[in-house]
Amino acid sequence: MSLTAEQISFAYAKQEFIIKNLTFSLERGEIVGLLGYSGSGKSTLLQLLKGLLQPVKGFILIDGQAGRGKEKIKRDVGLLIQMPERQLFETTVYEDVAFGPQNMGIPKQECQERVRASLDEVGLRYDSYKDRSPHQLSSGEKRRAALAGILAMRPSYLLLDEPTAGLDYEGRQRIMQIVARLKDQNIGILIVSHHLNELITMADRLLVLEKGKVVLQGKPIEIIEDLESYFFAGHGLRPAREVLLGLAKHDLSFDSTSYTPEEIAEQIRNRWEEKG
Amino acid sequence: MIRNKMSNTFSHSAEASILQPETKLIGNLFFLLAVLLAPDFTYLLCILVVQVVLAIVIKTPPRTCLTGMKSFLWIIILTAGFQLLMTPGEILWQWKVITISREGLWHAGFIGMQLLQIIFSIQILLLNSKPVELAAGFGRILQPLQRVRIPTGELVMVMTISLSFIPIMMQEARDIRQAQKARGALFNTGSLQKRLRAQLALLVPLFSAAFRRADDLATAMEGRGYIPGQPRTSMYETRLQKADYMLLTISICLFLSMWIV
Amino acid sequence: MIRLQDISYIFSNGYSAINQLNMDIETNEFIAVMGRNGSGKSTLARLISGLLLPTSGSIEVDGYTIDKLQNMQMIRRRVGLLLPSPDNQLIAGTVEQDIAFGPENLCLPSQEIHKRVDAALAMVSMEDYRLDPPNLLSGGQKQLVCIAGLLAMQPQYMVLDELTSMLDPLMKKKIIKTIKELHQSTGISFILITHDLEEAIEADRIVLLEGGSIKVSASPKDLVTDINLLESQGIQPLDISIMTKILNHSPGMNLSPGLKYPKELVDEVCHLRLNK
Repeated sequence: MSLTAEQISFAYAKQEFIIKNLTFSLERGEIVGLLGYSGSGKSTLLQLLKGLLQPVKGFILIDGQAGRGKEKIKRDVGLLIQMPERQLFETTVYEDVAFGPQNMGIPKQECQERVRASLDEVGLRYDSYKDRSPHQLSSGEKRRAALAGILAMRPSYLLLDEPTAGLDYEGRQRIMQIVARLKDQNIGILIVSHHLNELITMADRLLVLEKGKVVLQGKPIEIIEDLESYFFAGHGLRPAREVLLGLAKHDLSFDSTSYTPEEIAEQIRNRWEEKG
Repeated sequence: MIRNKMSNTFSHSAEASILQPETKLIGNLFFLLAVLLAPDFTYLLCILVVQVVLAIVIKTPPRTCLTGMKSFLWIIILTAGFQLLMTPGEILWQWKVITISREGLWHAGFIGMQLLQIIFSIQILLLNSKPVELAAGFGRILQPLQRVRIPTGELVMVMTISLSFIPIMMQEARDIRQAQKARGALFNTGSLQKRLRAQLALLVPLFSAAFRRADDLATAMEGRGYIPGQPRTSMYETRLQKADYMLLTISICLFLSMWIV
Repeated sequence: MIRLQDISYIFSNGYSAINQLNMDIETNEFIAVMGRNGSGKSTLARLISGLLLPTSGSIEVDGYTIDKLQNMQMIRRRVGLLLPSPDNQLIAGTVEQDIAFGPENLCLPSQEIHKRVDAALAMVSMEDYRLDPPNLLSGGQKQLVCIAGLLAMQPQYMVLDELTSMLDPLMKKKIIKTIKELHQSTGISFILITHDLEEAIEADRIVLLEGGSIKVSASPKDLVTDINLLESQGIQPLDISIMTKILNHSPGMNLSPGLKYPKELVDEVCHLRLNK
């Protein structure tokens, strides 16, 4: 079961191609990280997968069925845009989360159940949040309320455009915890982010987009070094990685795919204890 | 469609910036008056010739200019058609209730020409200036009004800022619409009530964005020493140059020649 | 210097954002202000820049007290404030005109304005963009234009409120580097409000707010080692501190506390002579 793009291309009328001949698939229960500089076509790809834009060439399949213009794409693919809290508009959190299901024609009883479940999912207690105005929530809570609005549509695939941008450390962690739980519910998740750290530790696969083409892809630990040279050209790496690479320059090499400070420190420590 | 028009309006050809915005505005005003008060066809044609020469001299992009004018074509045709059918006089041609008179033909042609030239004149102005510049020029023209306590400085500031925020707000509106489509909102189908609701869903976040912007902007402006009503200086000194005097002379002479001929 | 004495700020809805806060900011000091969302950081920024009047207590900037309108204008000239969203602060149609906005308000003659605009553009290395419309620049470039706009007013103090929260890691580093250089070359005092400890360690002093008052004010060296405190305040500890802590658990390992940069840790680990 997967969301698949087969050789899709996209361009606005008489303009250059934003997406060129791109093939991509997202399995259920998988987290894929999408990286790339601004203008590489990341947001356009999300809009194509959601069916908000139609590819000029190629097609998109949902669980093997062509999704073009069908109801299925509306229901099965959820898209959380950048800074989604900016488009909360209802007077209560309940109404806002219910907006999607209501548009789908879900009966009232079930709608209420869905709102309750999705608010719980994002850690906003239904009873204490449902009647509050979305505008009075903190920025992290607003972001999660917006996510609940997408989850209430019960998508099988979730597209997240910079879900942690602008949030503080705690806010980012909370979102990533939610994402991990959604993965366990067998939802396929595509995350666009410039927080490389989050993607490397969470994603099953990473893709790098440049001018509408995939230029790099693979499991995070297999492509860490390529990613670092692509995005940072050797500068501005995660500090723990800088230590690892700095030590290698002094003939002290450790596993070059370890990424977190804990992993790297453990290795140094073991070496120290071996030495006695 | 709107997007295209806007990008045309905001485009800018550097050659024309040798002219001060004040000159462009005042010159344009005289052209408009001359067209509106024109006594006969010959005079109108003379103005048209001057307009075309001017447009070429300041390098107006011809294609953009023509496309821009095309969207007003139906207004011209409608107005001219109305004149053609409704003006009584010496009958030239008749079919059932429809009559065409000699006077009607003349009026239709004349008013059609006037409209065309007015639109042409405004097109030349817009295609060769930045809106923000024009707003600033407008402000300087109105400056004497400050003596009678009309806050022209503030008015111009408001105009300038609104103009620079239009592209940002339009982008925001597009983003919000996309997000709501992603949640299954329908903007063009469904019952009237549903459509109204969808539009409301667009307006609320757009307004709240506008308020947030306004709030930040006010803080930033205050923080950068802006005090409404207090005098400010400008980075650019307005010095009228040869080209400015030439344009002004041409437009005023053209306007006055109406009574001489 | 700026002296805050017993200041409190209570919003009209009764929310108390700042509580009996005392703080001195020396001339040519570089301070980072950290704390959770809602800890009062942004309110403090607006109080220091003379945009809000404290409900009680007094604020003195270089001898001028924030109370009279006339003084407030004097203070706003001395203290520049940058908000998190550059889009909402760029006023004019070109970069050059935007930077000129402040000096124009100061009623400087045209020649002087030109001089200041040139200098400010050079300080942030944005000379190539002087005639571009600001809304077509990237997020980081917009921030640099905003910074230049403040520099052109030649302030004594600059308050920067979360200016990197929306930027990618590489741009973040570039902006912080620019600020550090400006601090050294101009002698302006910087007050940097941030969620990111990696940025805050560039300051001379870190002030940690909690519930509208100062929880800790310490040098970065002292603060980074207190991992428990940082985590309890929703701040991500440095990779380097986490690694140092893990390594120092080993018997005989004695790395100096308060390391901030990867290079420092690399040097210390090299001294352990693990490869011999």
